[in-house]
Formats: sequence, C-alpha cells, structure tokens
Amino acid sequence: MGEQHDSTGGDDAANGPEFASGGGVGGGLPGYAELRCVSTFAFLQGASQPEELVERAKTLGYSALALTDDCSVAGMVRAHVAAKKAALKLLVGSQFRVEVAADDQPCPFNLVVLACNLNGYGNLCEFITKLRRASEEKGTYRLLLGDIEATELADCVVVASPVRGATEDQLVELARWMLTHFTGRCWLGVELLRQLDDEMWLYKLRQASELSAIPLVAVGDVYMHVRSRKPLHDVMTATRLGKPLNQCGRELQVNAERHLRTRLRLSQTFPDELLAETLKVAARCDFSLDELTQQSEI
Amino acid sequence: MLIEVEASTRLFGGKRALRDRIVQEGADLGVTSVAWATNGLAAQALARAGIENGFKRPLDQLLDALPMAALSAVHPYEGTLQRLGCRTLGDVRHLPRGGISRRFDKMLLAALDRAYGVQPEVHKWVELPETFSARLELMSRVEMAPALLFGARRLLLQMCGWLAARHSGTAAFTLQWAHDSMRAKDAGEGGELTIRTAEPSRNLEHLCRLLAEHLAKVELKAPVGELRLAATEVVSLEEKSGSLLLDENQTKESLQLVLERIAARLGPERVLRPVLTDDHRLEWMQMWQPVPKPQPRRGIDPDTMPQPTWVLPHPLKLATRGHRPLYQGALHLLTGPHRVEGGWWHRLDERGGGRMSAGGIPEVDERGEGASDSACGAADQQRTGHVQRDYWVALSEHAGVLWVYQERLASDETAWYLHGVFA
Repeated sequence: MGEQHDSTGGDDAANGPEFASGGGVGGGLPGYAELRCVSTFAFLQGASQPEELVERAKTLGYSALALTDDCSVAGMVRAHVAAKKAALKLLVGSQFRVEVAADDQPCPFNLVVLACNLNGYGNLCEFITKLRRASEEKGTYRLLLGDIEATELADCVVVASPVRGATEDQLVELARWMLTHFTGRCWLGVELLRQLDDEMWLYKLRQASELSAIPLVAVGDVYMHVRSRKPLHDVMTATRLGKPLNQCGRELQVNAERHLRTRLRLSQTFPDELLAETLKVAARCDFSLDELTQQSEI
Repeated sequence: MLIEVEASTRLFGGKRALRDRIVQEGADLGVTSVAWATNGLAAQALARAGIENGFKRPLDQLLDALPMAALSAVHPYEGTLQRLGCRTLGDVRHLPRGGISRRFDKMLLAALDRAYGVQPEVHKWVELPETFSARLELMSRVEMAPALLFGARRLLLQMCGWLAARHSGTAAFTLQWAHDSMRAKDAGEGGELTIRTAEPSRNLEHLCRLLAEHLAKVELKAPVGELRLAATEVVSLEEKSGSLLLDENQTKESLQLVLERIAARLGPERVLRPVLTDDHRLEWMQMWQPVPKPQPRRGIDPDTMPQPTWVLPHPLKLATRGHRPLYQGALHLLTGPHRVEGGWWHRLDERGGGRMSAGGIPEVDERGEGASDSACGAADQQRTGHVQRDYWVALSEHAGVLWVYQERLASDETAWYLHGVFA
C-alpha cells in the first residue's frame, strides 16, 4: 500500500511539511469538499476504488466527498460502506457529459448532479435509467442540452464545468441557461489543474459568474486517489481507446493533477471563497443510502 | 494480341496515324508484325504471313493465297491436308464442306468461316492478372548495372500499361536480376532492388529516372542474363484532370518528385521532413523523419496552448540565484506553471534516438522522493522518456520570451532548464 502516500512521483517542496500534519485536520487550512470524482465504476475512466477514494479523502481531512461516476451510481454502495466506516460525509451523485446541438448554443460542459434528499436520489436514478435505455449501444449514453428537463432533476443540486477553450460568450450563454433551469441550485465548477491558462480560465469564469450571479465553486475533477495511479490511468485510457499506449498521445491526461490533492495544495491553488463554496454545496446535500434501508424496512 | 480499332480511329487522328502509332510503340512491347483485317482471325493469319493491309483487295482473295499454317485451327491437320493436295487456305476452302466436317474437327470449318467473315466472331474479354510480374531475357549479357535500365524500361512500360488498365499506381516495385549461368561460383543467383516512390505513380519516365538513380549505386557480381519486375505495392490512383492552369496540387507534386530524387541520390536518411506527433512532451511533439516514409494520414491539430517557435535540441540547464532561474540576467516568470507528466511507457533505445516502444510499467514511479541512489534515478530517466516538469513562460531582458521548466531531481533539489524560445 505504498501508494497511499502522495510522496511518490515527487511533488513540489511544499508537500513536505504538510505531511507532518498529515493524517489530521490541517489546522488553519480552509475546509474542502470534493464535488467531482469518478471511481473504477465509471468503466475505464477512474483508476481508484470507491473505498480508496473515501479513505484518502478522510486522511486528507476533506469535509465531504461526492462520488460522481459517469452516468452511474453503481459504486455508491461500496463508497457508502467505506464512508460510514471512516465517518466521512458522502455526497451521492453522478456526472454527465452534455453535448450541444447547434453552434449558437453554449459550449459542451460536464454536469455534476448531486442528490439533496431521497426524492432527489430517485430523480437522479430515473434520469440515469432514461439515458441508458435510450442509447442503442450498451454502456454509452448521449445527453443533449435540449433534452434536459430541470423538473426531472428536482431536489438535486448541479455543478456545471465547461470545457476549456470556451469563449466568454459561450460561458455567459451557459450561465444564463443554468440560471433559467436550475435557479438557486446551480454552480459553475472551476478546475485548476496546473495548466498554463489556469489564471485566464478563472478570470473568464469569474466574469461569467458576475454577469449571471451564479457562484463559482472549486472542483477537483478527480480520477485517482493518489497521483501514483497515473500510469494505471494511462493504461486504462489506452484500453478504452483501443490503441497502444504510445499512440494515445494527447488523449492521455497531460499530468497527474486529477487526484485527491492535499488541502495545502488546494489552498494554494484556489481562492478561499471557491473552497468555502464547496462546503455550502455539501451542506445542501443531506442524503444517505441508509434512508433507503429504512424505507424498505417500513 | 488483338485490338479492335475501328471505333477508335477518330480519337487517334485517323487510320493512318493510329497505324503509325501502333507500329512504332508496339515495337517497344516486342511486337514484330502487324496486320489488320475485317476480323481478328483474318488479321492474325495475315500478320503471320507478313501482309499488313487486309483491305487492299477483297479478303477472300488475300486469304486464299496464304499457306495453311496461317490459321491455328488448320495447323493440326496440315499433314493430312497436304496429302490431299492442298497448299493454301484457298485449297482447303474449296474442298467439299460436308467431307471436311466429317473427316476433320468441326472447329476447322468454323475457323475458316470466321476468318472469311461468313460467321461472326466472338471474343472473350481481356482480364488482367491480379498482380503484375513479368520477366525478360536480355539479348546479350549485361555487366554494368546501369545498362540493366535498358531492359528494365521495357518491363516498366508493361507495368505502367497494367497499372493504367487497373487505374492504379505503384508505391513500390521490385527489380530482380538473375546472373548468367556462366557466373563465378561466389556470385550467387542474382540480386534484387526494391524501389519505393514518395507517392503512387505510373509515370514511366518518373519510374525510369528513379530506377536509374538506384541502379547507379548497384554493383553487379556477375553478368546478368534475365530480368524480372514485379509491382509489390499497388495503390489505386486518382486520375488528374488535364487542367490548363497549373493548380496547387500539381506544383506540390513536383516538390515531391524533387525530394524523392534528392533522397535517392543522398540516401533516404539524409532528407528529413518535420512531422507533428501527438504527444504532451515538447521534444516528442515534433519529429524528423526520412522523406520517403509515408506521412501520417491524419493531420494532428496543433496544441491550443502557445508553443515555443524554436526548441532546443537538449534542454539547457540554467544557473539559479535564490531559487530564481538566470539566463542572460534574471528571468521574470510570466505565467505558469504548466505541468507536463508522462512518457513512463516510452522506452528509449540505445542510440537515444526517437523510436517509441511500449514497454511494461517501469519502476520509475516506485522511486520515492527519498531515493538514496541518485544515479539510479538518472539511469531511469535515460532509459524511459518519462518527464515531470513545470513549464513557465519567462521574460528575459535580453533574450526575449522563453519557455523554461523546473524539474525535480532525484534528490530533493529542483533545477531549471531552458527548453524553447518564443518568436
């Protein structure tokens, strides 16, 4: 279990002292809840088991962890068991790639849907079932912007993460769409993954946020619980694409930043208010799989 | 060989011009005798007898005068017919028909009728072989390789005809030569030369020139008696329209041909072409490959991130002052970091050259921060193309905008490198 420690693969020097305070609360650091995270239950996408993610999040002192597999809630039970054991708040959700049909619509984006309560969970599951059954090929789905009915996702909160490279106009368009469909329960997700244009991206999203009054929230877009899982993730990507590893090129992730980052790193990466916003989102979600058992017992 | 020419006379500028072309160009293909008549069998018979024009007099008069051997169907019975007192085809024709069909094969009478135009002729369609391979025995033994071109040209002409009929071009063809049987013992059976073209072609002159360049470098161990040519790679070719104005495609093509000729003369490894590859790592994003190698089919979209115009062949280690990199003065870091990680699967070969090979998972990522043996770490770095770097755009007062990166060394130190320069 050597890879439990983030030290492998070498991080910047800042990692050192943090590990001294490691297993604990990270005194003085802002709290954080990860809102976007896939496990191995998103087939050939995530490189870590739900249990590993939950344990790692607990070790790093996260306030909550959302498991949001791609159009699936299959990993939720295992995450739930692990989260109960670790006494970590687990947010139940899923994420979807949203495509757009015409050019004048907003850019494609990723929509994280988190269930706020039992009803929201039911709605989310129905939504997934509908998408999966509509697709002709097993294991795929296609979600167009026009197909989303906000009422179908009642009692859920959503976080939209637009793709990098979206223009200001597209972002504003997206923010407007969010505002009309998910008023009061939507956020714009900001992913800062050590890319050259991180600052520019944050600036663009800030502008869209100011124009639409949709708050920004920090998301990690997590694919693995520690960075040393990157080689495994690369191999999974190659398998998914059906190509030899050396021909995958830029389809592979450029770096290993999509892991559960330490809170020190997060506090260095994100402005404080974006981190604080994650806690607000987490606070809106008050649903546990335990409620299902209680219900079936009744 | 039988050609129906009546329908094509107008296209080729009249009967006379067509005949001249056939006689002239046929000679290259090994045609020794030409004749024409109203039907194929008659033309064949006349060609055998050396009479060219089957229209000079009525056909039956011409045919009557020919020896019996002129018709293949008559040939097997020539002895019997001779004993009957026949000397010419006319004699055979004048024998009673009933007797002939009883005593000889039915085919004899049918062939006669067809040759004289009494019965219509039916031909099978010509079907070209699926692959091309032709041999040629040389008239005299050839001792110098360039002289092989003379014979090879005839084979190439045949190949080009075959390719034209199949609407294809060749991307590679092989010329084999067999040494004369009187060769020295150590000379071997013969040799072969495979020639690849930059793009599929069936242009005879082009292929000849290419072959000549290659043959100029071949040394024959013994005199050669026989040649064989095969089209090894055949690709269907799009016809070009004979446009009046030179369009872009045609000028491009001539560049291809020039590059190909230079490559043939200097050696294929000396003429290189930059190729974009799909990789996150800057030094692998572009590669130089020999021109004759086919280019990747699919173009690669350039990275959306700004990339330096000039890339150093090897990153230059920079001096530092208080964790700040220096290059012709202190550097001012503008934007970053841009982290690039990857390449652990990429095993470099001994020459340090650029062939990629996917290997198993090396132990690079197991190397912890506190790896005691720094030399071991360096060796790992060398064997695989693994990188882990934080790139920054840096501004230097004297050197302009630079692309520098910070890399963590095996021990806890970090080092700065200069990798590229923005224009």
